[in-house]
Amino acid sequence: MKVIYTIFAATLYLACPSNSWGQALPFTHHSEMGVLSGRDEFGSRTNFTFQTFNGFQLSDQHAFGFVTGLDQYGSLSVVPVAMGWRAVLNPEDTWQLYGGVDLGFGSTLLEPTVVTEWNEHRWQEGGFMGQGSIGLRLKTKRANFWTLSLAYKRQIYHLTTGNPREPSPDPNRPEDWSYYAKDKITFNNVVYRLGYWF
Amino acid sequence: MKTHLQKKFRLTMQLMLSLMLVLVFPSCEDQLESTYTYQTQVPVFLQVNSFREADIIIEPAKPLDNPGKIYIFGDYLFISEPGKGIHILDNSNPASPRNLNFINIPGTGDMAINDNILYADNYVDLLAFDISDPQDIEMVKREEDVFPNMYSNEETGTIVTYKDTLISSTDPHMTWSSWGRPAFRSDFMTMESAAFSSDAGRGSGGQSYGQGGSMARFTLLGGHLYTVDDYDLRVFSVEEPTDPQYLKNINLGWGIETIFPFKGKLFIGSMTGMHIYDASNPSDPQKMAVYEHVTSCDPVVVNDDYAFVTLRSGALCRMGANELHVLDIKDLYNPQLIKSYPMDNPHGLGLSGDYLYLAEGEHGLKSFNVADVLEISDNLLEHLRDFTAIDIIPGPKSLIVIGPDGVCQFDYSDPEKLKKLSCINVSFR
Repeated sequence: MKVIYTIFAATLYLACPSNSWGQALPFTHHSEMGVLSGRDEFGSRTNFTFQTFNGFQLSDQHAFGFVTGLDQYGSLSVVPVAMGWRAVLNPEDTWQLYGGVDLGFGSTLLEPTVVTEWNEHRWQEGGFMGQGSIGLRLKTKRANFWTLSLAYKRQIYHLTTGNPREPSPDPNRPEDWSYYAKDKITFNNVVYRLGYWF
Repeated sequence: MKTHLQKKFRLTMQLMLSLMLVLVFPSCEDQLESTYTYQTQVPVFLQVNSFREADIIIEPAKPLDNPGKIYIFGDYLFISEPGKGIHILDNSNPASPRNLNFINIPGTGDMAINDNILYADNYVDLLAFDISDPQDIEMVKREEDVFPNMYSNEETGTIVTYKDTLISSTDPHMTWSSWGRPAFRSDFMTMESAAFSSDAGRGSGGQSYGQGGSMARFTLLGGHLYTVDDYDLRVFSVEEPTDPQYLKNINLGWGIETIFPFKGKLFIGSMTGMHIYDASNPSDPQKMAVYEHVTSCDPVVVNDDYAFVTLRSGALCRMGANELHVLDIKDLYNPQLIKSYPMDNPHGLGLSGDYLYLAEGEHGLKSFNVADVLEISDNLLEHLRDFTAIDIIPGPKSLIVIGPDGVCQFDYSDPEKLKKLSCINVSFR
């Protein structure tokens, strides 16, 4: 939560004209949808992803902003919260090459803690999210863009299951649990996306 | 212009494709790492000679670490530290008890005091201490091999104790813990079966160390010392206090927990119910009745007409309900349940006249007027929530409440309004 707050606060701080460049920077927005593709020990997996970048155009070539969205790994929903940077190589052309880096946190805030009828507690925590992407951007007649991109995305995620030994166990104290297992899963994804940028 | 653009585009595409090659082909697998942390009891083997030959040392006062049982004797409080020893406190002023000294008794569980003699267990042996001068305690007797169920091999004199240990093991695969883990893919049915078979093939190396050691529980009645452990009631004659003699052993079934003496009867709380024994012939107690209930943990207190039994749920208490049962024991051969009251998580209880004090574990301490046993829940007097209470002793000077955080004393001269006198906190937690 602290991480999310810091990222959000930093973006807001940068967005405020009095704190940054004396005048408001032009707003820029980039939404993408696509597939996450990866492999685990049982074979390959394909998952849905959506992300949106909202930020400020620092120059013709560079933009900086806040990234969020949804990665749906089967029944697991991860909400990325990150700072993002976009750079365009040749903004004057119709077909432009761009790259981006997003660094932040993947949150499992949509995943509730579950207690089964057997009193098994199950809770999930997100973790580091990092992504590097490269793509093509096609200028339309109205100075908007279509984008097509390829990215590598790394997402860390934790799932803990436990059966309490105490009436009110501390989730971080294994001594309080008669059964306590923590799975750390690092998703390595190749991401293919289609998007719209304005 | 067009050719220039096309050239540039081709260049870009080439660059993209080569990057794709770099990115896609080594597209590494998801990394999985399971950490399974569990608390287990690791067996520790010990030769009886090692503790029999070592002196029992009276040490200077030590801070409380993990208080267990408590015993009042005159102006002194004896607080056991399971497995380690017994703290002695001067309680002549309950508002400021003074920590005097510590008897270092490895492997101790419980104690009882009779006529200036303190009895305590030391693994398989029973020890007797002369405590007539608490500043100068002396061991007067060691009765050997009276708690033989700790022996793993009696011939070689090896006993086994279990030490709580936290073990973590890491596996580069996902543990197949249970259903309900989100499937990271839509074809999760195949994944479940694949995971199941792969896990079965790997054979998760579960170790079984067995159940932990038993803590003896002691009481004195009619010149005899009675101890209970998981299965047995043991009888010792202490008619000559400095020379306890082991007499006999009565098998009680399983899950025996507490023993409460009252007017020549022994009330024994077990995980399955309450046993009543007639100890009018103290060396040969006779079974009078067993009151069976659901499996849970339950201490007992009694007065002339009624027995109060608490049932609680807990990790070691099987199914468990959280209830206070009131039994009519006017006919001791046929105890009858009169009424049960829902409680939060009742542990020990203490009875003083018409007032019942109930330790509710993490939910604190409750006091009731039990003059009318059919209306106990309507006669809740106080509920103090700011500490964890496990057991209660209504002492002559104060009501003593013990919990994992320490020992607190209350003035209960006005039973309807408890007044906190002092709290001795454990050194760390």
